[in-house]
Amino acid sequence: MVVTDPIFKSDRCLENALKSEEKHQHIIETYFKTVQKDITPPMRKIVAEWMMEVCAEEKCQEEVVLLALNYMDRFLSTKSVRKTHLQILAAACLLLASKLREPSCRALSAELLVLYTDNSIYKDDLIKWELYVLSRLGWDLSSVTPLDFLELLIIRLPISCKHFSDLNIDKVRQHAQAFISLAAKEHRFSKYTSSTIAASSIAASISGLNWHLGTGHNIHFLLSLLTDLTSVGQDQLQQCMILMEAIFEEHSRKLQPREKSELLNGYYNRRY
Amino acid sequence: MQKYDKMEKIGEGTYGTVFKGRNRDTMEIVALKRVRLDEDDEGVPSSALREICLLKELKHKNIVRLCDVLHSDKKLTLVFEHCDQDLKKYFDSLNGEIDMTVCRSFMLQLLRGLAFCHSHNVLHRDLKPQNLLINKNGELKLADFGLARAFGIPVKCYSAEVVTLWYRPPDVLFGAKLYTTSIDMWSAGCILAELADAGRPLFPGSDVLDQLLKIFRVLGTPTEESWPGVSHLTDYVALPSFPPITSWSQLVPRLNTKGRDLLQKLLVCRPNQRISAEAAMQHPYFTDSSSSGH
Repeated sequence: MVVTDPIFKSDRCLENALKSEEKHQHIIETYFKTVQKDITPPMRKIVAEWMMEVCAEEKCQEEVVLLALNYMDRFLSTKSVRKTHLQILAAACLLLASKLREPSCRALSAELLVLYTDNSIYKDDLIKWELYVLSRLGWDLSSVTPLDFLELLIIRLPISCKHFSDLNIDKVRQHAQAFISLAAKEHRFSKYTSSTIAASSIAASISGLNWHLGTGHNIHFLLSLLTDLTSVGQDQLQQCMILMEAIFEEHSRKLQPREKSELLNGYYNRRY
Repeated sequence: MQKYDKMEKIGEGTYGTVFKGRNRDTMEIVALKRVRLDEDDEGVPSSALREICLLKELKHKNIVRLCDVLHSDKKLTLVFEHCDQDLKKYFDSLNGEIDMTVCRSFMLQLLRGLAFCHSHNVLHRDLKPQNLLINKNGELKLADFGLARAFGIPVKCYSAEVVTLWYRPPDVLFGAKLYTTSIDMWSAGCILAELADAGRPLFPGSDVLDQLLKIFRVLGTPTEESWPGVSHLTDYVALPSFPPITSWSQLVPRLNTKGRDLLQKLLVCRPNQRISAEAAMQHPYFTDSSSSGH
């Protein structure tokens, strides 16, 4: 059950989130060309998948891994890292994100993270890396993730209104979350802001659920609503949405039919 | 840590010890919160981390300012603006008398700070007089964000680590798991009553059950009609059915009618019926000066 805080509906909440995103704009799109010498986008994907596995296994809140990836990307855009250090960096980012967003009783422990690396790192080093990451990021850990925007946007769309009764908000949210987590693994998406990813994931989710058939509106109507909310251009949103759909296609082609339905139904539910 | 001279100890926070300090260059007086980092430990404590992150975002005159973060391998120092005392100590100095214009001014500042937090998606979650700082100019600032949390997404489990008993709302006492901004609004209500009574706490319960009884003796015991879903909360227990008190003027005699009206809008058992900080700031209690004691 998701209870929505009425304050989410106040415009200032969305405005402030967009403003804070603007402030945190980092140039992470190009770091593989400009900063990194040793690591490559496929390595980032492998380590991102490892991070997601840890979080799924430990039933972390959904946003933890997104936050950790944001820290990692920001770190990598300022400092060249050897590939032998990529995993300890990822673990330090997970440690930080989990401390920030999980209740203290459930945060990932340093020891556990060491185990998940098959003991390829030492706990003392991990703790040192935590401080290293913190000072590199200027102690600024309050990035807004696509999931934060998802909630702020979804309640402002005419999804659960009478006319579209066969579409429910939980299903839209669940599918959008699956798109968001697929996108998080791919460096290709790092050129998009969190609000763009969130808006496009909603569009991809709604369009996949045949919203246009039920409502008679086409996808451009939806995209224009999302543009009004986020001030992100329609072209940009559509481009990101198409890319998400392509990634999803690619991903589901590799899966067995049974897993395919679980991909959408499962990612969210797996945690409960 | 050469930039600041450490002076006397001021107190203990949720984590770490707080000292008075002086900036060597500017001679500015600051508060230094020191956190030890033990090697065999978990690194930077999560409460320190949250406080740093949130306060870096929240720049407002009714929220304590974080000026600097210094760290070595062994310790972490958070440098805050210095305030003379907290509201608890202020109460102790009052001897049971408070100027009602001061009460109103503090309450408005508390709401301004809260509205700012809430519009930035931050819940304080531990409002109490000890966490409200007062300076010589009569300014009030929210402090100790060690339990605070950004509320981007509805939260599932927040069990024990929240709000001192006396300021805890009935939904949380009954084990409600989804915390929203309404949690802070209840605490603000308790603080308004305490302000108006020169520091006598409104609901000083000794344990969860006693806390609930103290609340319901005043507000009446909630029912499924007055609060749909209450009996399904995890820790719900059926309690004797008290009627609500009829005279709020006996409860907070020094608070004027408008103040009492605001108090009744804050102290509502059903969380989604509690007034928001933004709306509370607009309450006539703060706009009408005729009955304020001027």
